[in-house]
Amino acid sequence: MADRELEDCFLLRGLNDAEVEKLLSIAKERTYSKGDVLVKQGEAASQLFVILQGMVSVKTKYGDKVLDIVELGPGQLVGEMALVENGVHSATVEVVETPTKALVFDVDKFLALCEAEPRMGYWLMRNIASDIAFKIYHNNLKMLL
Amino acid sequence: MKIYKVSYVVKGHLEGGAILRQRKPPKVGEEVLIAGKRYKVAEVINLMPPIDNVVFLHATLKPLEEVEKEMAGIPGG
Repeated sequence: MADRELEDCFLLRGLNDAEVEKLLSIAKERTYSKGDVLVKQGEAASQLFVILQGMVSVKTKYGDKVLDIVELGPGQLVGEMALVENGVHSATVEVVETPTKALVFDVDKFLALCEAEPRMGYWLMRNIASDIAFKIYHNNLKMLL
Repeated sequence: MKIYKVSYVVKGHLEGGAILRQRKPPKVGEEVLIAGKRYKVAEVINLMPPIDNVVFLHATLKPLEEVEKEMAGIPGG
């Protein structure tokens, strides 16, 4: 992975070099094309994605209604809510740009690493919380504007 | 180097918008392209305090076609 993509990756904030190396050892870098689906609403969470390049669209469906929630670009997390809840994905996330690159983490391995390395786990969970907080700010403004 | 995490919201539209990370902050009046659609930046504010080198911003967008209608004086634009 390019140094610049890593440098800008907010998920890694607070981690030292050895911890970054450990985290990346359980990640896979994947490339996707427009139309590929990263996660489906209602499916059990099994992966966490960090978008490195490109763009994805987050959509949620309720009954017959489909709402485009947000487009997410480089540095943004996908699957973080389901990871924290240890539950199911709250939205469907589809790739809208080719190529879109992502770091992909197996949720079980990610959580196991957080438990085995508490300092690392603290920063990772704090960074995920910050990402979710920003998304809440974003949605609040959408409602106001 | 600063990194800008930007919440782009399209004024008056519940759908659309984006969260992007970029090396330069958005500026009022400039055009941005999100998911193939062109917008004009109408407002930029700080969303929450910076963390380390990351600056969190909100930018309000107007669809470019609406801006062009307004400039042309077309009612409803």
